[in-house]
Amino acid sequence: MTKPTPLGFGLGLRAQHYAEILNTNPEIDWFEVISENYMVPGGQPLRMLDAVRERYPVVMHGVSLSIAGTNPLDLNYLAQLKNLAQRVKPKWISDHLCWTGVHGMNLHDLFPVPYSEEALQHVVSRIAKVQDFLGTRIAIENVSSYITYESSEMEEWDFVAEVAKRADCWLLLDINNVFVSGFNHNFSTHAFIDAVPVDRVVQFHLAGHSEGKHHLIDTHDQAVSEEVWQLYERALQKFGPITTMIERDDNIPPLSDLIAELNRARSISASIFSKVAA
Amino acid sequence: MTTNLTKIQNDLALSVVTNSLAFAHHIATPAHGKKSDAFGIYKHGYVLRLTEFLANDYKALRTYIGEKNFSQMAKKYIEAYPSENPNARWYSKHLPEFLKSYVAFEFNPEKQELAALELALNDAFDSADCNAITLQNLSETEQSEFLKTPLHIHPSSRRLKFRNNTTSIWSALKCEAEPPKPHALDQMQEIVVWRQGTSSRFRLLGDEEAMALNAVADHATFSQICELIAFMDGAETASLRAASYLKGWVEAELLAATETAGFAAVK
Repeated sequence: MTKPTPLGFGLGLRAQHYAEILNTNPEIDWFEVISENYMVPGGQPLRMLDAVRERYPVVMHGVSLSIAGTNPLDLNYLAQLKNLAQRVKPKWISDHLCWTGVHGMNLHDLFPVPYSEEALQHVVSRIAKVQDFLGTRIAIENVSSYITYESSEMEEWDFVAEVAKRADCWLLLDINNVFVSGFNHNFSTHAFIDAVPVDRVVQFHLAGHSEGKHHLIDTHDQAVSEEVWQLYERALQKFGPITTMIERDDNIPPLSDLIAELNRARSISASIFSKVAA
Repeated sequence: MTTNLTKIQNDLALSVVTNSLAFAHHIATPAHGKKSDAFGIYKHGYVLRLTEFLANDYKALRTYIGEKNFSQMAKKYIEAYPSENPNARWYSKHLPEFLKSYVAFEFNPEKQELAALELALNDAFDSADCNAITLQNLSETEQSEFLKTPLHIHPSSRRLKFRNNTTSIWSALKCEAEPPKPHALDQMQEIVVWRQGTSSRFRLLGDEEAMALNAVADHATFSQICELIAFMDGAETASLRAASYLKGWVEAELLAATETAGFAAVK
């Protein structure tokens, strides 16, 4: 099992930045696109994607696969995803370890599952089907969560590690999600990072969150917090130079602000690995 | 299979979209706050997110009716139309239909028309790609061949009929200007919405051009269009009028260049 070659430091491709990216070819190593934004018949979104794809490596990241959902897998959705992948030729395809709806009710949110053997078997079997259909390993991302279940039988990090092992899939480790869930459920973020298997992680997400009355909320609408930068440093020390991106979905700032954040990630990584080399 | 998981997901989904409290049986006591605080983040997020999808797709309507009215309208729409597609892109498509019976807008028909215009513009924006006939295509085609070639309208095109000055209201809102007072028109307005390049556009149509464009949608030939509009007004100038429409449609990229129509298509 050979992991894909690391891509370096990337950003999420957002419509607000199309023109600047295509006019200035900024020093961003790669882009992550939200798959659903390009699962449309035609027009500007696909043209922009094609133009960016000609210049940069691209990774596809979905939000609606509902890999833990109990409805049958949505074959129409999967067919569209496969069509898009054939067009984009992404370095890899990712989605979340969650369910997003049931019985025709699409909740457009990332609901966690109980960390139980039953859920584990269910998720593993669905990842296998999706990987067979797409003809490639997919990467599964840990989500931020605000609830836990009475029926959970193990820790989230053990569940995540076991999913990756049994389903033979990659992991996308969202450092901010580890931090948010760690606060919300009062668990050790270090224990989470320590338990995730090195040979499965192909990508990191970094993002900002907000403070609610009782919980941290995974809003992606502000800069990465200092605590998340610290956790990122610890993750790099464990996992090595993993493909990293800044994920911003709301209150989107000028591209230069995001590049500045990305450069901080570069700098942290360079500092760690130059010490290792020395 | 997964009976416990199925029950959990059913109960939680129902608790998000209705006032059911079934979620409480499944979730553990949180580290901070109460169960309802923790689950409330998902419940609140559901309405917030769907409202945001609507706001993104109906920017002019939102500006026109104001934030408070838009939120109230969104709440009613969300109750009437749970999301049926995993892709958020399609969530808002029923809004114009919903507004036809939305009591709060009963005496403001321009609001429903404004929504219909925005939906058509959105749909044209990312509709299927298709090369458009160019003036060069026309100049390279034998006239006798062209006259009997069925025409095809661009797949991005949509047609609307408005009874109010909605397009003037939309245009003002688009320029961030004060919109005119709404009023009913003396006669119904025919509109075509389509995508030119990567931008959605609309144009008002006179009766004759609307009829001619309907014929194009039915794959009429240019000869048939000439015959058709000869009935509308002076037969002696029908060919000239039809040629003028044709030039306008081609320049606007409103005609599809299909291989079967003999146009090898340059966009």
